[in-house]
Amino acid sequence: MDPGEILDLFVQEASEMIREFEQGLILLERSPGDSSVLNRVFRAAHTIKGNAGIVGLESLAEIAHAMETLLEAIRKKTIVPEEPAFNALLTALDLVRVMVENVRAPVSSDRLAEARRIRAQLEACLKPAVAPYVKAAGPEPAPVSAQTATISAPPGTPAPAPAGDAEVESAAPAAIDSGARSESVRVNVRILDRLMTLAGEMVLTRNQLVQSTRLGDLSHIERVAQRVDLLTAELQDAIMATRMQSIRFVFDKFNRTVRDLARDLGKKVRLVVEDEGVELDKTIIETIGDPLTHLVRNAVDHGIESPEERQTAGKPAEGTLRLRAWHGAGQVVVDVIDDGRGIDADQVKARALSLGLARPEEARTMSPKTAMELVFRPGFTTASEVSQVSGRGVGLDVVHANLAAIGGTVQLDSTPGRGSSFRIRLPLTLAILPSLLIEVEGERFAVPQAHLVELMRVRAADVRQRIERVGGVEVTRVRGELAPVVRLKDLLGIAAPTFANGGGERRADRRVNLADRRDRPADDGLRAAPEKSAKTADARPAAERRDGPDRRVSAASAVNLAIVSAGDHTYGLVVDRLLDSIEIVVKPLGRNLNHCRCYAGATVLGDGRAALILDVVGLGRRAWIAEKAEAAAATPRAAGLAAMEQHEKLAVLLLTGGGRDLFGVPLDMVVRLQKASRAELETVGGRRVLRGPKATTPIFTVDQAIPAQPLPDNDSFYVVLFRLGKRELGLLAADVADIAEMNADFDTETHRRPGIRGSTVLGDRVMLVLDLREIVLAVAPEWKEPEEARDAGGPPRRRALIVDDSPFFLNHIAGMMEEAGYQVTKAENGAAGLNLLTRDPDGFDIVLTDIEMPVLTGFEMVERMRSNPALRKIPVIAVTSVLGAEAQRRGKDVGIDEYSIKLDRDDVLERCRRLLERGRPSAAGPGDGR
Amino acid sequence: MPSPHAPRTRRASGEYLVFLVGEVRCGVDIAQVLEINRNMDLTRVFTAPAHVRGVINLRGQIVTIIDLAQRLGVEVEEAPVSPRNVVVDSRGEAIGLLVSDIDDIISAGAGALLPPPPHLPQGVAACTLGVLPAADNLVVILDVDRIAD
Repeated sequence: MDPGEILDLFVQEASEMIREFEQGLILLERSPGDSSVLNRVFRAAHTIKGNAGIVGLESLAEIAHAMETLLEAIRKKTIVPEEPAFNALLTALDLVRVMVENVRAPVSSDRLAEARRIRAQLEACLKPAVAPYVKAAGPEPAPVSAQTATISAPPGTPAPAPAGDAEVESAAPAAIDSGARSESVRVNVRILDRLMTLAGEMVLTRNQLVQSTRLGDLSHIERVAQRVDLLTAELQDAIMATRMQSIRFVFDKFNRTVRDLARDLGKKVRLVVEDEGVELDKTIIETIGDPLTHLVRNAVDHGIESPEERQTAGKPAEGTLRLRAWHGAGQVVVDVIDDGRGIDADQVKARALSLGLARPEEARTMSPKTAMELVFRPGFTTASEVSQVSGRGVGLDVVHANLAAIGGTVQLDSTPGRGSSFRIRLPLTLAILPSLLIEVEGERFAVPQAHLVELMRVRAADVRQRIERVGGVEVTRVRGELAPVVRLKDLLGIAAPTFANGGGERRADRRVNLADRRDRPADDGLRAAPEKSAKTADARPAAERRDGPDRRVSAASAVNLAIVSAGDHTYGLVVDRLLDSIEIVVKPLGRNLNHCRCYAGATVLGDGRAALILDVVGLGRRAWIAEKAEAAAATPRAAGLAAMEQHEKLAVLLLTGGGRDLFGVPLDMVVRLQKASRAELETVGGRRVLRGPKATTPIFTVDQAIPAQPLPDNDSFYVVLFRLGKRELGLLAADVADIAEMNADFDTETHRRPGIRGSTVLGDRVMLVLDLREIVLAVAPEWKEPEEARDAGGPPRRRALIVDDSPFFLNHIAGMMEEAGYQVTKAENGAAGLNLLTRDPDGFDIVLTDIEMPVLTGFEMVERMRSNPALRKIPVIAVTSVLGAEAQRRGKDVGIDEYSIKLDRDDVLERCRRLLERGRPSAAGPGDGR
Repeated sequence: MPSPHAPRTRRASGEYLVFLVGEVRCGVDIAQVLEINRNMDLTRVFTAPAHVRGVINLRGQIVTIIDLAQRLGVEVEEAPVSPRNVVVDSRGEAIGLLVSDIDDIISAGAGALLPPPPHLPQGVAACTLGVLPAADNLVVILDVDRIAD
């Protein structure tokens, strides 16, 4: 090994020992009796000394030796360690650190003098009866004096070696190392092994690809291409893992920072660190050092009060500063929480106004929460004198800017007297982003998946209901909360070309409410005058029109909403189309554009065109989302709206397939779940089956019906057993992840294809809801019951009308009834259902209806049925997801015969059968059983 | 965004690429020109300043395209027949300048650059390094960095 390499190794190991020493010493200071910590610290000093000697760094070895001697005395209990001793040791450590950093340069005479001084200090501590260490004038260990400590250089920069007394101070800045960029990383060998394995796989697959391309075998190429897809994803994961570092790396440094700062300011502060093993990309780790340092110093300096002040306020004399890191929805969250004096929103407002950072009208309507965020505006300084300790009032706006540069955000929450909490949100990695592609006016944009909460497609007939104007703001209900809704088109000023119905005339779209007709000037969305609707009358028969008698909106004005989260605020973006979920490579925008708040970068799509990535937070600011949310929430209507109409829930069994695929199967369709080993699966007559003790079950996999990753070649699988008609069948899955509850009206458009009912976003992944029947029929189409065979012989099929406004339940129940042998007709709401019945009173034997529906509810429909002699006799079952006594009573009054829980298939079918057999009970008596 | 090529020296090479911006003949030091292309597959960037026409994908890099006529405040009467992107290196970043047409390459000795005449429109003058006499008119030599900033 050449001398350069030896030195490198030395530096690496010494740096680790320095870190060990520092952590241990600070722990030791708090609990001096802990002998295991003492031993650790001793060993660290010893190692440094030994290694320094080997590489010939004499002065370094000497200092380490002095440190070791002092520690030995402590260990032998010849002296009791007190603050002066710890200070001396830490000062010595700082010098050691500086010397290790400059290991290749010869030691300057100034440094040698410093070393001598520090050694003398350490020796002085060995005398047990020494007078209390006086903060004497002259060479002092730094940093020592109280409030007015002048740190000569900003933290993080290695200080030059000035002459004379100032020298000792120069050690101090170096100690506050906020994370200098390093050129190497430590990588766990396991990850490297994984990379090797993947490389090997890549080689094999590459060989296969080359061969199959040469042979021109398309199906083989497809299979190999799938493998390449899978491998690339795994390779990407593994490579990203090599760059991940634990956030402890950053947090640990603060032990020293907090200790020293608290001492300087005469405060007592305890640092609590909770990191939950959070890891971040190296670049991000390096970049958050500075902002975090600023926040930590801020908390100790301005946040936490002096012990006297705290005791007067009834708080413990020692303040607590909590650093917490955890994962949430594709982001890492870092909290800096103190229990200090807190920040008064009114004072912040006043200061901002006096500095001209906020306009009076703005300040007047601001909520306390928004006012708090004024501290992030450039030019704001919280201390009346610029405090040097916190970094010369550099300002929280720099923290904000630094974080924004890496795609992060910071928010402030505070209670005067109780404390403050800064919350930083960071992306996990900078380079590759799973995102959703959306389209507005023909332009495509990418929305990072991490910010995506939900996708909503609001049908034209529902727009008025689902999107309302509250407090002057358009909102929609998302998971029980009100979220403001904005049109992306307007927000970005994408010129809208269109339209007027059929006129061919081009006029600007001047709708104020999303529910308004496009060719009317802004009004409050009331019904169109009769003559207008006649002109644009829909020629289709009433039953086919989506909305029956209410012809205000055309089917084309359905609204697609991407619900996104910008930190604490959620809002909905109105877009024209929701396209695919794709993984994109983030590319920065040029300098002319990087101040555009609306974009977080750009990417290149599959067709080679550039597309912009939306900055959800920036857009939210531009749209005044925070203000809008508050305005809406402040109205009395808001509480009522949010509580109203909780969406029907659907329990779903979550399965994983190949690669990253996540699928869901409605729980009520699952008969049983079992595990199967590879040996139990066979292929018979070209079909896969599960060989069981009693019977053989036909097995299906998702990739047989749709393009999905094939299942990994595991030794065991999970089999989801379900029934189709009279058969019991199985769906193969790699793993069963969980059971989730989702809204029943999920997105049924974006991913719709045979085999997939729809999709929703769970956490940060897209989950595809499977249609088991379609998957089976894709593989075994001959199993579909032919209609003619039914009608030819046997009893006539019963005809059922299913009425439900949720496409999922409508299809689900219809499918269920069809399987059971009924002839099914579907209707989307009470009015449509009533129309069908009125037109053909003898056409139906039984009606299954939902209750809560737009236009005409289930109750209203049945009421009208009963007052129509032709329809009076038809039995009606209400299928609902909620069974309340009140609802049941009302139902019976109105003429509903039975109630059933829509997801309980056996119950529904049993009731149908019974009602058809016996006919309607003539008196409206209480229903039986359930 | 670093340009895909090695940074060129900024010494005036003595050669200038001349092109038309509307009716005005302009030029830039050829040492700063990375390439000329016809890539008009622009992605518009809404809320960007008016002179930014959009961005394009140039071999994996996202390059901003600046409409030079807009930027310099030059009136353009009719749509240009053969617009081109002149991709230049400005402070290490590749930026595309949309021009009406490419003209020629001219050589000029050191010190040949004359101070701009007073009648130049304000927008143009602000980005001018000087003028060069060529054939029967003047070529306005532009300061690429000023344009791109």
